[in-house]
Amino acid sequence: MEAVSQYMTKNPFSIQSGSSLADAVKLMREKKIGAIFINDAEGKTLGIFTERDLLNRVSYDDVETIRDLRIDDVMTQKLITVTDDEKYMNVLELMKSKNLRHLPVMEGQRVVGVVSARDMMRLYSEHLESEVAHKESELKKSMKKIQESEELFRGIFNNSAVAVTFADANECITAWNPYAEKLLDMDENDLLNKPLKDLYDPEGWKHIRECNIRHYGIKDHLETRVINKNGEFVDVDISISVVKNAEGEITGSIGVMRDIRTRKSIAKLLEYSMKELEDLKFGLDVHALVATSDKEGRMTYTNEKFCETSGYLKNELIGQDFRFINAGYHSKEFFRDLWHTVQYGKIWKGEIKNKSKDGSFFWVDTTIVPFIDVEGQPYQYLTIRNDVTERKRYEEELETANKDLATNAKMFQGMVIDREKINQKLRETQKQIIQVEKMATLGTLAAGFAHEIKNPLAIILQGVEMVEKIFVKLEQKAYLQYVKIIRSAAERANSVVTSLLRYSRSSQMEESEVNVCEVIDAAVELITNNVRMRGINIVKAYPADLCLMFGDHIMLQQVFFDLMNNSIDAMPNGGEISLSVDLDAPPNAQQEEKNIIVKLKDSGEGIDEKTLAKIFDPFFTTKDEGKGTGLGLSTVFLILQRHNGNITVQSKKNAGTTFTITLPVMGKPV
Amino acid sequence: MSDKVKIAMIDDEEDLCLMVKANLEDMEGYEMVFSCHPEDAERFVKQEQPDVVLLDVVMPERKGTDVVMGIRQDPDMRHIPIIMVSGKGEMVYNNTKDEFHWMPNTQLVQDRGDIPDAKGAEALAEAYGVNDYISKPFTTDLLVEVIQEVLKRSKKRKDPGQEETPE
Repeated sequence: MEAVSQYMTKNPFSIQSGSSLADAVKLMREKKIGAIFINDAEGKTLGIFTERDLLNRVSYDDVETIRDLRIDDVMTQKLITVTDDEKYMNVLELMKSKNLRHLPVMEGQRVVGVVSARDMMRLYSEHLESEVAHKESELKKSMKKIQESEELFRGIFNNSAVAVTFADANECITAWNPYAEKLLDMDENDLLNKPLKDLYDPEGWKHIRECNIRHYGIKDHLETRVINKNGEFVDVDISISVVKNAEGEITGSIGVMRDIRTRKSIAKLLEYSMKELEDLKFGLDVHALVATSDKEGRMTYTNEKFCETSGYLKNELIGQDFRFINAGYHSKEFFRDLWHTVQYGKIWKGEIKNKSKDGSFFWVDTTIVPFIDVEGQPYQYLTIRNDVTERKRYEEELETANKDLATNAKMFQGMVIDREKINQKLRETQKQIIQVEKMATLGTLAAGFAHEIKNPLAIILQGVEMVEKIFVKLEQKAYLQYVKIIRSAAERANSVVTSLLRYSRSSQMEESEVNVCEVIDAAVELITNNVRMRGINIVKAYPADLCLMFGDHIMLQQVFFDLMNNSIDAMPNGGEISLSVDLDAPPNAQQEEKNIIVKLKDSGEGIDEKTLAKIFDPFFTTKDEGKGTGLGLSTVFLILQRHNGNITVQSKKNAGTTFTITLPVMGKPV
Repeated sequence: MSDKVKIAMIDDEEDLCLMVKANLEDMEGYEMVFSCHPEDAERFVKQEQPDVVLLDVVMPERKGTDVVMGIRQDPDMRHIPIIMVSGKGEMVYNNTKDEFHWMPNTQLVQDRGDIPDAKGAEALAEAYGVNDYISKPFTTDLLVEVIQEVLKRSKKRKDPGQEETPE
């Protein structure tokens, strides 16, 4: 604020020392001033006379006295003064404390101005006005800022895609944004004063309560669900803040809810996709040989089916490249082309012949998919192979068959040839060849050791007999049961060895001209007693022609004997065995070449599909342990193979079994 | 000669011989001698003069069939019935061909079911020069049964003027 010189009344009125009081009063009245200074002849200020001084004098002295008074007698001599650079606040303070109405401003001995209380008042009010004006403009600015800010927040509040609700201290909704209405499908009537509790199911509400929201709010988001107007649940992600007043009392809460239904449904969709992928993988694993390999072509993963088909263990395959299972069938160019295709990121498709661990070949329909990195380079290859060995074989056979057909076309003009039948037969032959190979190995092995076991067995059984007699003599009958166990074990071993011997012998044949019907009759003769006891009927149907062939009479007899014994075992409650013999020309035979077809059908319990597939495998038996050796039907199979014949079986559970035996008429066995 | 039936067993398995001997002699009316030296078999049989010879077919030193030939060629022994013992399997008589096959088939000839009828035995004699056979392992009961049958048949043959003595 200004210095004194700015607002003081300059050159205040003064009167010469020695003047009468009356003159002084007259001057004050004329000039309408409240105070007058008294100066000496040099202009030095000696004192001050104010209205207050006059009033004081009037009340104490009579008028006569006043008239005669000199100004010097009544003036205030001790002056309280300031200099013209004094600060306003100090001036004000000084005047207030000394109860002054007029304050002289001195310059040396001389008064140069006076500050009156009125001056102070005027200045103060002026100052105040300017202060107010300033504050007002500040306020206006703030108001504008607040308004802008509020608009901004209102914009956010109204347009945001989260629902915001305000609740009072009683947990009733007092305010909300439009999205809250949308989310909850409610309008003002529904929402105003709605208890928060009603937005949740009891469990959800309990959970929110447990979070101790009243004190801390929910800082981390909580996934829950709220109930909309129609009573439907809406999945939300919620956070709650508690509003407190200055005293720390809770005055309400702000809830922010985000609709996460979409996210949830996406999560569900993702889960579904994952499941679907898993199913796909499973399906693929069941169906195909799957492998992955690195960019050098070394395998990094193989599935079970791959191992199963190739015969290798997983750890034998991992790290190897495709050459590992290469059959050497395809040309170098073939593989070069393959590699070239996939290296450039293209899918390669084709059929490859591979070699499994046991040396057998298998064909795979192959698809190689390169996985490309961001630079466009393959970093991994996925290979899916389907085993098409059967189809390939079939195709090869078909080709051969077609060639044969073409060569023989003239000969068979007019004949209707069922190609499917040929293919069927070819497939069967193929299967049988595999079977024979399996059996041949076993046969050689068996012949080697079977005889060596017979002698020790004979000793054991004789010894058992002796021990038995000794125990009887010593009257130690309790021990006989153990002897019996030893005997039955030795007998079991003998039966296995005998079967093996018999199996291996089936390759040593004595051939002669044999009438198949007679052979069957001889076999039937052997089981007559057994059949009669079990109430089984035997029905025979033979053709008029003689069914002659080259073969081993005894071995063939054994075939029918074994088959019929199996049938008998399958009919514990009686039934029927029907034997039919027919002569039939094979599809592409010379005129003289015919087949003898024997069908042996029983009405027994039948064989299930699983068993049927293994029925001719050596050592496969369905009989109890120790009862069967599993070599009976394998021997049958082997004997028929040696006679250039074969055997097939059709059966259904509880619908009987039919064995079909085909033997060449007069065909010389190999 | 005692009343007991004397059996001479020729088998390279000494343990088996000992066992069979113990079991057989445990029956009443049997005695048994044995040799584990097939190369010396004829001399052994000639010396022992048993009622029945029990001869193993498969021996490492010598084939059983050779021993049969040796016995049959000697007039002092040719009348002695021979029972062939084999671990090879069973023998089956082929009706159509009128001969025997080695048939390692337990089921077909379980307990020797269909063979040694008279005709079968004759065919056996013709084929191998033996009177019967038994396959390893066998029980003493079965052995005794076969021995008795063989003795019965050879007695029959002797009675009507000793015809058809096997070669």
